[in-house]
Amino acid sequence: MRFDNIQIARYGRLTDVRTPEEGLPPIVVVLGPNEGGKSTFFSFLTTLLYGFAPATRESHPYSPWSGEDAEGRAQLRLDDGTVLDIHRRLLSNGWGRMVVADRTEDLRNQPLPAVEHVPRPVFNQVYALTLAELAGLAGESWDLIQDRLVGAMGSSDLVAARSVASWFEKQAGSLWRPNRRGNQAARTLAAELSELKERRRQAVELDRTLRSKARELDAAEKKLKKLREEREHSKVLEYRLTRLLPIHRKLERIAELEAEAGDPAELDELPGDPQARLDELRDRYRAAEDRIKRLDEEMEEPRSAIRAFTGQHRAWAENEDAVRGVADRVVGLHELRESVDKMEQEVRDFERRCQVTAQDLFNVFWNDVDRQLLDMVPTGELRERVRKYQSTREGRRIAEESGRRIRPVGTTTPSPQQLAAAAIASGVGIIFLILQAFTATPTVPLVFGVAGLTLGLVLGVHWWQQQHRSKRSIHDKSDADRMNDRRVWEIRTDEEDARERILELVADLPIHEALLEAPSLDLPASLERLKELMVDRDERERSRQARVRKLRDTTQRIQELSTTLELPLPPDALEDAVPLLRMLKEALAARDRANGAERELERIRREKQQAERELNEIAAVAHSLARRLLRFGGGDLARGVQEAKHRIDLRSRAVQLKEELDREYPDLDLIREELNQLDMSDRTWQADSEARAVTAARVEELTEQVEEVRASVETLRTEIQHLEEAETVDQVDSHIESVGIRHDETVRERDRAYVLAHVVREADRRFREAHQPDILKSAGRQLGHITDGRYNRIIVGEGNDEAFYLKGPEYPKPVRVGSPISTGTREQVYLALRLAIIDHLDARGERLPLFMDEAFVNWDSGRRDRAFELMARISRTRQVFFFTCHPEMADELADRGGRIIRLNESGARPLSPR
Amino acid sequence: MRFVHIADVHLDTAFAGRSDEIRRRLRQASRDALQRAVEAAIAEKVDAMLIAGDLFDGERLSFETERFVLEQLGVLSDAGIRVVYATGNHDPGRRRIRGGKLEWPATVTLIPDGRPRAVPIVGEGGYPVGIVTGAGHASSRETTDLARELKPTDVDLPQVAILHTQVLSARGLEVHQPYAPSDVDYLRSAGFDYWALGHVHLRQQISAEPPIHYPGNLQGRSPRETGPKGGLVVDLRDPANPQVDFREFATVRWEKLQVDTLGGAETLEHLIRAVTQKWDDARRTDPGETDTEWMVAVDLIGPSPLWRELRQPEEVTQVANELALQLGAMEVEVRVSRIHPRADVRDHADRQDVLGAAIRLARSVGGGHESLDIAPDDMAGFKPDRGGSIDEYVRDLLEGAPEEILAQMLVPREEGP
Repeated sequence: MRFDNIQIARYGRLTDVRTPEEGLPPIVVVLGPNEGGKSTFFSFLTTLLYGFAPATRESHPYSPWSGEDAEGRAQLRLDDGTVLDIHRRLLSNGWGRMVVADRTEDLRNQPLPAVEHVPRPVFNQVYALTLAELAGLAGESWDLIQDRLVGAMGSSDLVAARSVASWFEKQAGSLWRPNRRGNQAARTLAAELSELKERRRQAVELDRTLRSKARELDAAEKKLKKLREEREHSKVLEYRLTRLLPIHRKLERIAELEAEAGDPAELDELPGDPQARLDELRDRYRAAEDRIKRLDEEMEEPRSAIRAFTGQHRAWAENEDAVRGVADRVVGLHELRESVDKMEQEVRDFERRCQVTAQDLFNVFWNDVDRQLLDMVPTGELRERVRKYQSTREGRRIAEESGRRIRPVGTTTPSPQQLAAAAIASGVGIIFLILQAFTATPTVPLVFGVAGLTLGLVLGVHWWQQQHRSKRSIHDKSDADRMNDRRVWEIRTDEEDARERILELVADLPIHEALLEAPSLDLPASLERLKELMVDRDERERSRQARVRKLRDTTQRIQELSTTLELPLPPDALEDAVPLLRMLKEALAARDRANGAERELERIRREKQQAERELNEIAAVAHSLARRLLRFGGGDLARGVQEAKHRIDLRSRAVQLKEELDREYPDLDLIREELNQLDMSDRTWQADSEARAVTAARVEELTEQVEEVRASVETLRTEIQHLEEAETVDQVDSHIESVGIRHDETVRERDRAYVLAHVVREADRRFREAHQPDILKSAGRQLGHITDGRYNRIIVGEGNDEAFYLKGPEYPKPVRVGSPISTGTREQVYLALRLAIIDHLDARGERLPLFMDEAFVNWDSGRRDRAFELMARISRTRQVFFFTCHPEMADELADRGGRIIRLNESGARPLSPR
Repeated sequence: MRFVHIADVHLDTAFAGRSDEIRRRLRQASRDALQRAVEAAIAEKVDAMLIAGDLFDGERLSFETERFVLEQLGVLSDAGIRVVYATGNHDPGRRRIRGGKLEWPATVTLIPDGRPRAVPIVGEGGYPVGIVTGAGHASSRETTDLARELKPTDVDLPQVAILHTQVLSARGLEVHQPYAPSDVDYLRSAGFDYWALGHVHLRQQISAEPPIHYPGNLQGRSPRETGPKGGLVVDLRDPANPQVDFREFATVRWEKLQVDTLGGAETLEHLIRAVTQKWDDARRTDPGETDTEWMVAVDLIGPSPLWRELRQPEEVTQVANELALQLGAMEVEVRVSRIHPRADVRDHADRQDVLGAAIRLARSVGGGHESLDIAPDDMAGFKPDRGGSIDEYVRDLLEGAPEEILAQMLVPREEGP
């Protein structure tokens, strides 16, 4: 396979790079400075063959800096002459197209079919030989180099197979080895398992012990229960003997006493000392009799008071309110009578005043005037009309007066005396002014002077005004006189109309004619006064008549009351109330005394009844007691008293014993109930103190035994608790299970590592067997070319010696490739092996281009010539790309048929090939 | 008749938790589950509780568990609930290691061997409400079809069969030994109104008519036994319309979580976040009970940039502890064996170098196409007496080997050993 031409549209820093159209030769020299794009160029060619990796624009290291899609194409010629047009572009994913003989195939991002026999990683690492790779040989173990060359076929991404196998073996060995040397995880776990099995055995033993202890505990608890029951029984017995037995015996004594005392009903309500009781009853009887007698005597006094309250007293007392009412009226009657007399006098005064007023108005007596007509006169209206009339009349008088002033007689003319007085006043004033000039005190003459002049001036002006008016009135006189006459006539007519309107209001009243000729305001005033006097007179009259009626009624009612109540009124009852009230007071006092006596009498009676009841009761009790005592004594009271006393004493002792028991034993009822439920025939009720001691000792003994067994139970429980806290079989089993799994996993991990080591070693061995002879043979041929025949064979040591040895015509004895050999020879061997591996890798497929990056720059000219010759030889079957920054080296290769492609410093533009 | 049907309680199972505390809690969880079943039986006022075998896990019963079982059965006895307990392969009756030595309450009927027993169940008021007929395992390797021994009685009452058996058509058989195998067709035709089965730990209905049920084990015991665990409350008062309801009794629940989206998780925090996200997604549809305690097995799968860190046991432990906190789980087990570098084996399998050769060889041996020359004595875990050949053992070990080899041999982006 070879590239005929290459077009890089955009790829990393390379832009628009085009190789000549006539095609590229077998040797292509890419000349450019360091960082000029040679690595980019190699990556581009790899991408053309294998596609973009990674296949995303974001992550691809050679995405163009401009942000555009990486893109390029090339024309390839296969070994059989087939021409391929390849076009690849990195869109969002890798895109590719291949045209073969007018047939277009979609490559997507897949490798070309022609390169599939060499994986991309291998192509990247093996088909590109760099200066760094050769230069690094000096510092590297030849064994590793040899491994990489033969085992990894030159790939630099592999760890030597033998190292990997050793690592697996080391891993396996750390986990388990057939021998017991060293620390082995699986054996440690196995040991732990053994130890756990021992612990399990102990746990089983503990479990047995636990169960045994549990059984012991069960038995001990049963025994403890039994002992406690027996102790409870003994305690009950002891309880009976120490507590119940004394109570039981006291109760028996009580029963005996009660039996001897006989029927309790017979002693019921009998006094403790019957004789004393009998004496006491006798004393009380006598005292009651004395008290009754005394009460009878006390009754006499109230009875006499009751008798003193007579029927007359009762009548007065029962009518107390009526009597008091009559007395009140008698007191008011006198005042009423006086007021009637006073009223009559006032009425007469008003009638006289009415007559005085009426005679000025009317020509009849006041009481002959029709009151209705008089009341109908509107005095207010009348007053208005009179005012109107008087106003008109006054207007007429003024008009008439004016007419008289218009006449000459009526005008005033200034007198000469007035003028003379003015002159005198002025003259005096001037004199005083002159005098003030000659006096020591000028103020007084000055004042008099000014006053005199002022008076003279005023009088003079007044005289002049009168003189002026007089002249003007004489001039106007004749016209005014005529007009005034006419006006007087008109007012007079109005005056008459006004008077007529007054007469309309009072026409029906007999008023003096003179009053109506020129009515004055006295007319309505007099009419109003008369009306008021008549009203006042009427009111007094009505009031008087009312009092007269009241006087008459009161007198009549006193008379009626006296009659109705049959009161013997005193002769002056209507004149004076004092005797009446005195008689009432006497009656009430008698009544109060009688009432008090009644209450006192009632009290004495009740007290007497009480005393009588007590007397009867005492008699009954004494009789009853005596009768019962007679029965006790068989008819003999003294003996009966003695017998009763004895039985009462017995019963008291029984009661006393009961009370003691109650005090001593608050729960006596329960104890009694308990005793009732017990078998009284039991012999323990007859037990003595010795029996009590035996029982108490037994209780004590049982208590000790209970404590002993209880302690044993506690001990067993504690032991069981401790045993339960210890590791149990199931716990150990779980632990064993856990460790067992870890052990199995460890063993499996070990065996797996061991097998993997085996696989790697076996693969390495087989690979070497399969490929090493061919590679070494081919490498020997290549080495012969490079060393100009000095070495022409590479062989492997025998047995376990896997080192490489060189042979040649000059070296019939194999020379071991390693440290003794020169660096130059090592590089030549390395190159020969690499070339042989490349030939081996694509021996059965398309021969892929070889890339040399400054590979021989450090070689001397002789060796480099031979290397170039070798390259020229190789280029007959395989296109060779040479990357260099040295123009002289490029020229050397150009001399051997190579074509130079120049990359400028910016790396983008190719110069034209030479 | 109403009853609670449980099975496979496996008391005193040897749990393999990381710590003593976890193991103790797991052991306690089985007891708690049984206690919940008892409480449910009383709350539901059932007439009986049926225990279809494997009440105990092994030969030995701890003293504490023994007391606990008797106490719980005593509670049922006090409530007047009869217990019918047919033994299974884990607690066979013949050896008398368990049942024979315990002083069962009078209301407990133990069926210790294959001889069928018919137990009348008395309901409220003292009237019989149904008949339970069952057989137990006499030995731990019972191979006969005990179902064929069970016949319904002639009494006109609901007839229930109880048996610890492996119905051959059931799901989840791969982890169980085929003890007392039975055939579903026979069970259907046997004339019982309900088959109360035990042995298979995966809860399932074998048949609807008549109802044949495995309640599953009462409490999950390993990451294989996931999901809610408990028992069935069965109502056969109307045998023509049986009601079977599941009740979750387990207090600890096991769950598996496979996380294969770790390619972008560059740090352990990212990884934990990815796992937590996956867990939250799972719990959204199945949140469990409010008081459920979780035992979670997290399987990390596929390429991860953290593959090297996750090869360190300390790192894995740290991740597990952090996840336990994040998920609110009692314990989280993190499995990393299927984690590998981001490099894809497919990209390197055809390489003409020793890496390609090793990958191809691992595949070839793992696929059984060729063998490696490895002596059995060189293997620590190969036990010839357990059956299987050394080649089979090696093949089993080589699962994921190409990825492992690639991880160790590839240099550029992943450093070698």
